[in-house]
Amino acid sequence: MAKIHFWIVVIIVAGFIGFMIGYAVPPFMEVGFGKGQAVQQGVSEEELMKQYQQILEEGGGGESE
Amino acid sequence: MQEIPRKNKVWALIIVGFFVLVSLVSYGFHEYYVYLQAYLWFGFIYGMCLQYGRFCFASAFRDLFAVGVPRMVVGIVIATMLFAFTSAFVNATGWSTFHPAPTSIHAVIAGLFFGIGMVFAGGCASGSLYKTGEGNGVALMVILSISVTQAIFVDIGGWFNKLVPESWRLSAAQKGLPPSINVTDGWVDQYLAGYVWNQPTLRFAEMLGMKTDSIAGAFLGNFFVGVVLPATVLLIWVYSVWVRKNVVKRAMESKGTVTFSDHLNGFWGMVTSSKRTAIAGLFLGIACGLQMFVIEGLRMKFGVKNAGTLLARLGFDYGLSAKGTVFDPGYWYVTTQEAQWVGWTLHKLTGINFMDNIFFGWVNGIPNPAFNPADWMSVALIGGSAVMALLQNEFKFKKPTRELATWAIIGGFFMGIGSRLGLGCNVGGFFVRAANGDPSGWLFGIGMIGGAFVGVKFFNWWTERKMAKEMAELEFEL
Repeated sequence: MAKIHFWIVVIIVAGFIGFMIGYAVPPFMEVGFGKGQAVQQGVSEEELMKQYQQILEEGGGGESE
Repeated sequence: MQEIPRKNKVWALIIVGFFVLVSLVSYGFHEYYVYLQAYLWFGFIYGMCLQYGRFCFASAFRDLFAVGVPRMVVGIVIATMLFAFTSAFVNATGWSTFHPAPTSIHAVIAGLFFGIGMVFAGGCASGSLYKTGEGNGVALMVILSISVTQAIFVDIGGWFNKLVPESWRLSAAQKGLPPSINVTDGWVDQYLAGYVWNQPTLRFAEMLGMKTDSIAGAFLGNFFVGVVLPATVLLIWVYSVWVRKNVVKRAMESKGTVTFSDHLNGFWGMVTSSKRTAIAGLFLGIACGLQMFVIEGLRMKFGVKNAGTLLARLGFDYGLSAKGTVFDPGYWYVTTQEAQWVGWTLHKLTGINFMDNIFFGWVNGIPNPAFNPADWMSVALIGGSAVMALLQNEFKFKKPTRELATWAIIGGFFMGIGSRLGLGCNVGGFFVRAANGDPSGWLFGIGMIGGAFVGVKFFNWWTERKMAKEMAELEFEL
């Protein structure tokens, strides 16, 4: 095993994971850990459909890749 | 100590550098890409762990049934328990992205197909991914075969509609799906809407009257009753059938008697013999649990329930399902995204509508693979495995022979069918489900073990027959 290179890779991966945890933790802190409210926090199915319809109407529903 | 060639180290850094570049550039375009990057970097970790631990279900069961070596099976069972422990933490907080699957006999049948396929192919779904990262051409062919089979299987109708029981057809028609899905045309559509969706979704915690998002439910119901007990039964079975006789033989030779303590030592020796797979399993477990946290946190941060909304906001609305969603499990999955990229390609190239079925059109969509979160995970998984293989000097390009390629295609075909019947593979159908206290995971596992047994027996018969033929020809020539 090339140890130095392995640890370079580990540090890079840990850096990105840490960055993403930094993104993910504040919303949890706002809602509160361990209260099991995850399901209620997102946008509802109905709102999601409305949002999507709105985007479709705005964009004309065409391919936009 | 083995010296690692310099070019291996350089290539490893180039691969990591590529993913770093993708992450930085995409983040420069928009903050939403962090969501896809989460899939990418966790996929990378999975690849490193899989390669390090040789985490392949096909090799594990082939070693067990063909030559009686239980090391890797034991490692996988231990890994499942370790993952279950981290999952219990996530489940107890109520932030898990995991959803249990419908539980019924279909999971056993699906596992049977999958088990046969993985032995034929010489690699399971996750094993084929990490072996591709090691430069194995056969593994790449297995992935192609799984992908194409799934994409075609989920859309197949016509004559196959005649094989659908009337009760499934009627039940599917009553589900109120939009006309664009055309639910009564397609075997898998009617199987899903007419049969699978009617089955109960269970978890051990709820079955015992507890709540999954409570400490008792997560740790006692799902972890202890749902994972530790069945996993221990599995380990005892492996010990009794394959290890016990050696322990007895050794004890008889040295002391002339066998005590309970000898069996305990033998059992412990079996458990600790697979350190590498178990260590990989521990890190896999931590990464899987962490991914659930991160994805759920990002969903809250961006106010979405599914990556489809983010893709639409970014302007990539092509290939979203009728609900505006894409495949976004929030945890480790393998086969669905493989079906998606073939579905997307065939939809684009052939002009055939691949969005008129439930799998693509109603649930997962066929987004451009370049913006498909789960595809980012699989590509990075291959990359992570390649990096690990390079740094251990285990990377080697292996061109498939015609015979191995044929087995890869046949095996991939069976795995593709099994994956879609069971709504997942050895990872999504067994590993993640079993670890999260979903009994359907164990049902899939039972089928998979049975299928692996059938596959090994068939393979042995085939090899013996082939060798006998070759020997006969050799004698004739002599």
